Amino acid sequence: MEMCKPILEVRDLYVNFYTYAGIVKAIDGVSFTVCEGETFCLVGETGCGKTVTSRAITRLVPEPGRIEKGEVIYYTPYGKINLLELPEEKLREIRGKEIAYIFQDPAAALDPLYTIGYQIAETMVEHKTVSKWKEAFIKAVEVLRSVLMPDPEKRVKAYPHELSGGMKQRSVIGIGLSNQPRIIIADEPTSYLDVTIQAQIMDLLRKLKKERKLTIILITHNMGLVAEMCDRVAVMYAGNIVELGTVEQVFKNPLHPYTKGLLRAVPNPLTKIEKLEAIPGTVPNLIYPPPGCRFHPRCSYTMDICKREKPRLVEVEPGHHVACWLYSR
Amino acid sequence: MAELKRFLIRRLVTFIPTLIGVTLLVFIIANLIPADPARAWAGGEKASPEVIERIREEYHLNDPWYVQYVFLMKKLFTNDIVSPRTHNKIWDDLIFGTSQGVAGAGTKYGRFFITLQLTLFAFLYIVFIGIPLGILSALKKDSLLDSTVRTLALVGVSTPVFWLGYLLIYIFFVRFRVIELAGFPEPTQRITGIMVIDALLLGENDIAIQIINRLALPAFVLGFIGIGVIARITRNSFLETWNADYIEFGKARGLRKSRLMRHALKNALVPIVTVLGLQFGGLLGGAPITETVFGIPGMGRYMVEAIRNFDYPALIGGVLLFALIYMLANLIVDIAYAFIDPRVRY
Amino acid sequence: MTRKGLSKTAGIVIAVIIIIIIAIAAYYATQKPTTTTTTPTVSSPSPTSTPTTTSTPSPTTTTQTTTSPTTTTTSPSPSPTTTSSTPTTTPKPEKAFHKRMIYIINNDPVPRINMLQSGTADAAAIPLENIPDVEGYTMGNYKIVVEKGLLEPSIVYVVLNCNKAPFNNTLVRQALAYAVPYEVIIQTVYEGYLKPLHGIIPYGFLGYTTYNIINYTAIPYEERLNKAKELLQKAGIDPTQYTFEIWYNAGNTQREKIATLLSESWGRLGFKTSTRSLEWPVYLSKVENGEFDVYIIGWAPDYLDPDNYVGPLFYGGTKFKEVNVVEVQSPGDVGKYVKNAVVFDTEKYYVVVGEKGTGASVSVSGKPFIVVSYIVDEDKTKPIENSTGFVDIDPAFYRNTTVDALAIAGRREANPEIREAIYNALFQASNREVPIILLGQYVLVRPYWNWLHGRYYHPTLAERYDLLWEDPGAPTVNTGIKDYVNDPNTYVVATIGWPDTFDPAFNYETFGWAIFHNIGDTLVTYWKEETKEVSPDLAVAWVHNKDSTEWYFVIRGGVKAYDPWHNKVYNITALDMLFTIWRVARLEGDPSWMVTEFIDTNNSKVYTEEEFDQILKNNELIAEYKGQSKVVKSLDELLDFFGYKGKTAGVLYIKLYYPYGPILSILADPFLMVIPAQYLFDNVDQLKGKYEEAMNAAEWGKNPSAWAKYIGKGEQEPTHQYLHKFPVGTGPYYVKEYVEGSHIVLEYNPYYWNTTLWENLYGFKP
Repeated sequence: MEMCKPILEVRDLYVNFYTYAGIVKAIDGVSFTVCEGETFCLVGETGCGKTVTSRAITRLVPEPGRIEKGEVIYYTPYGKINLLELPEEKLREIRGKEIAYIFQDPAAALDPLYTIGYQIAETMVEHKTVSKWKEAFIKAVEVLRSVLMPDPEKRVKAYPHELSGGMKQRSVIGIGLSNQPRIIIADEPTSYLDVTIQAQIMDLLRKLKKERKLTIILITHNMGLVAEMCDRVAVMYAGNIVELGTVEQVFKNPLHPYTKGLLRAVPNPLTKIEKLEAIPGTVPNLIYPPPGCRFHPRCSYTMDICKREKPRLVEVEPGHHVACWLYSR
Repeated sequence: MAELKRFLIRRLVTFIPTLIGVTLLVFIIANLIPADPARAWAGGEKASPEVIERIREEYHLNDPWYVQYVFLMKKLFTNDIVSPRTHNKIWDDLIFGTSQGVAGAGTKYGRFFITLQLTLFAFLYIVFIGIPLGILSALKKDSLLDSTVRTLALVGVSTPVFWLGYLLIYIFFVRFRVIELAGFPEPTQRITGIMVIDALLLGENDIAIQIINRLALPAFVLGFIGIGVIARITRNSFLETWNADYIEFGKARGLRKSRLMRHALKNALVPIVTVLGLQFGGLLGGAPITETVFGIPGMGRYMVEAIRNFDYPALIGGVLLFALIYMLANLIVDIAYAFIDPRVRY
Repeated sequence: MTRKGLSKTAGIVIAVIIIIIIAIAAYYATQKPTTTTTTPTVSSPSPTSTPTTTSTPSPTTTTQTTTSPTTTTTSPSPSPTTTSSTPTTTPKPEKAFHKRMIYIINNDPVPRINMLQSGTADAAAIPLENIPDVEGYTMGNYKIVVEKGLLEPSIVYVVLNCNKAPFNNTLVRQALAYAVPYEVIIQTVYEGYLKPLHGIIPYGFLGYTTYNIINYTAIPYEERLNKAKELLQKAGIDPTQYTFEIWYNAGNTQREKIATLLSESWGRLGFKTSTRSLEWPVYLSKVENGEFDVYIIGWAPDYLDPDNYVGPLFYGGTKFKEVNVVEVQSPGDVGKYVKNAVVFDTEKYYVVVGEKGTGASVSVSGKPFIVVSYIVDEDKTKPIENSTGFVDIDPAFYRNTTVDALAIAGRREANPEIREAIYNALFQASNREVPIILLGQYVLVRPYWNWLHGRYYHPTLAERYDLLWEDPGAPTVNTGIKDYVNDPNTYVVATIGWPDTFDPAFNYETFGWAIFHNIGDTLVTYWKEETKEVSPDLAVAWVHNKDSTEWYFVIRGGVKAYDPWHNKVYNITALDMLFTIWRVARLEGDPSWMVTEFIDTNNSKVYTEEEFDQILKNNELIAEYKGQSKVVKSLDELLDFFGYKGKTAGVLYIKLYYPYGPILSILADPFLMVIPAQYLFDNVDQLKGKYEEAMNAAEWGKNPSAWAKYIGKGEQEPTHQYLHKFPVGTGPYYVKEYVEGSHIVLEYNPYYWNTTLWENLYGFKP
């Protein structure tokens, strides 16, 4: 295994949402490290908190959410900074320049009233990647070319509604890459696309990552995608990371009952399964989460301690962590 | 752009049947009322039969209604018909002004342009107070400012125009003599039809200031309701766009707040522009009370008098103008959409 | 409570506090102030400021020093007057002459009240219920006074459809007249400013009488109701069988209240009543066709004669082959003239009306008799069903041959004593028959600042603004109209409406007539408050033939008309006056009936002084003036009789279709102010350059019908359209500028023929 040079480290992140119904404890003490140059995946069901976590990294959590506690350490060539304590202006400089996002729905992410060329140029001008708008528009064409947009000179003047889903997502990726970021956080980048386009986009991402030595944090619920794209994966459930390790480790040797259940529920090209199984029960209400381990109501291996105390992430084998009382005392 | 031109021409062509339809409808309704206007025009109960008969002949009141209508429209078209009430040609009263170039005799600007100027001022209030208030309200949602603005907007919509007028007159005329209630300053020449612009073009700045002073308060009264309405609409529309995904993505891209607001505002514009267009037409119609209270010789008062006295020519002429302005306002709104939102196709 | 909820409540609380503050401010705004208010633009009223001579065009007035009795002023007219600190030749009291007069138009009473209170206006039209708001209001040493008490000739009355049951019964009508709640109406609708009237002729006009009439307000209301019920029983009708509507015209809140009060009161008698409002043109249409039960309306006279009430409002449309009037002393002689008799016991005479013939006998004696005998012309008399209200027949569709005969007789009678008796009889008839129930005549209420002096009242003519003056020390306030200020030399009135037109030939309303009275001259006029006799104006002397069908007017010389639009002056002669009157008839404008009904304009002419002198010599023409009457035989004798010594400018001859005594009061009406004919021919496109041609065609006044080729009819007629915008006149003021619906500015006429009057009154010389 290679040495991990950390580029991003999330420590003990707690995020609450203050709604009229009550306080939603969405993220309940999440910690992980992302290594430079790798593709790190955050996986889990809808509502498990992976999107919120990804947003929390650059303090993009919208009202009524609040980051209660925790640190996000970003390793720059000039030293470490805690993104959660950075003044807003400095943080804004990092967003879109060193850490770039790709959102799920490219149609919604693009402002329908502006051309994509403008939106690309705008991002560059904002971060002073270029000094003049004219330059920015010329560069925008190059950006589009780099994301393999067909006929970029024409497309740069196009409005979002004039492009197909795949082209829109390429534009979003282009926007993300325009300022030469170090980290890309891609939040389910292909959920809204056809399967064939999915493959194209993922190929593109892979290519770009190699060319520019990017670190990618990929958020998805698609296990197949994980198997294809990721180096390391963290499995989230109800606001907690329940298992963390390399793709090989997690897929070949799932430790956490939830992970096992997940893998049984989807076809897994790495092992052979007889039939697909659903995990009994539903995702818990995070306003009144179950005490102790949040998975225990659905777990077949529940023990007394599971109902009382929350398990910590423990390293079971090098690089493979799990948070389950089955593996720790 | 060629498409836009074709669209414009098509829309302008639809004006004609609409105008005919509107005037015909008004004319028929007015005719349905069993009144003989000739008597009222001739001096009421003191009118002599010869005079009444002469008026009847002159205005074709003895002919069937369709003959009357065609006569009216033809004469209106050539500005050849005189209002039996004001004794001026209708378009002179409304558009061209009655002074015929002689200083002191009447006004160089028709009633319509006087009201138009008042309306434009009111419109400026609505745009420059209402929209910023709405944006502020949206940005500081649920704050003190937001609640205050929303409650005041509600008050604004419920306030009777003349009551507000009286109150402001008391403050700004009786207590502190800041405004005037009489007279109507005019520049020495008429160029565009908007008095304050003409005054500025001619370099007559003191007259321009007088005009602004005269209209500042009445325009505020006229626009008061509109300010509240636009503030609410802007707030809601802005909130909707501010919570949109592309704004979140913009934040994720590291765009500064002012840039994000540009995005949000442009997207919020479509409903705002729609309401503004409707407001403009409504302002024209809401002028009579304001004009009466502040003594402004505008079209609102003119039309009320025309209706009272069954002054057919003035009625039809005025209705024609109103309809035209409504349609133009709508057209401008539609064109504005095309410029704001590229998804809109014609 | 959450943070959001807290700020929400706080926001509402703040908004409510703001509203309360506004409400308190509004409350104070409506309070009547008891302390002196000073407006920031008031200039110092101290008389010790030194007069200055400036040649700036701004109309400032400087007050005089205490030593000099003249007012020195700087005016916007060509040459500035010089300062004089020594007493001039006319030692008159301190009076500031009205060099300028401004109407400020505002149709809303609140701004008018504010303008009056702030001194922007010297006088204003204030609704009756707001009079207490302005009365006693002070500014410095001055306060607003409200003149009350004078009776106006305008009346308000209720019309009953005498063609319909139950109103076709006199007793029913009398019952309804008794049951009107006069006191309540006067108090609640008119704030007390209405005086009850019980006959067709108002107080102040010939014929008004209190002798031998039913006084419907002599007994209290409850007793009146009983009396009314008695009358209904006597009439044999059951009120509960009748349902009717009381109409008023939409927008008139006073009449609305009256309708409600009438409905309620008559309801107490048993009638089933309701009220209804109609838009004015609809109103007129229906009532003129007789499609109504009861309606409320008003009337204001056009000229000073009872015939202007009896004719339109009481005369039933009967046409006669003959109407004769004769005075006899003994009752026995009555029967020589009439075969039946209706007798009216008036104060000085018994008036007997009957069909021509013999045989009637009367049982009264002690006073002389006026006997009116008539023969009805059935063929020419229109049936009631085909008649139009106000035109062929009175508004109540009431026809009574006796009344009609009296009306015609009164119209033609020249002898003032007999005329009075006839109109007394008519008053009594209207009082007993009550086809229309008079509610009352208006009491004049005039609020104005007491720095204004010289005010007077005439029933049909407005004031002449040059006969009013102000204290030189009165405050000066900006008007807001250009640079005009309301200084003591400027008379500002805040009022409503707008004159229909500046062309007198087409104007039939009071606003226009008030202006014409100030910018023009008529043949004769009523001087100030005079109502009995006319005074010379444009005409310096006049005579008429024996039966008053031919009148000659000698025109004053040296009268000039000022055209401010081209800065030109025209000399006025008799030809212009003929042209003016002829044009009124020709254009068929709204007031034209007052000319066309009586004057045969195409056979009226202009004579030279020499021709007229001959006419006097060869005819028996009578001059009447100041109570004296004389047959004059020469122009000099005539001028001497009228005490006139100056130049003359021709003689106007007017031919009447039939004798009509009140013709002089019609000629005093401002719509007949003189217009210089050449002004029209110089400026109207269609007539340019044709003056000589037109005058030649009319033989310079001998054949006016030739003018028909040049002047047409109707609102679109070119001279009307021109004069409508560019008024011209010979009077003390001229129209300087106006903006429709906003203001009218009158300025003193430097070419006025009677500036010596100003010199005498104010020491002012233009």
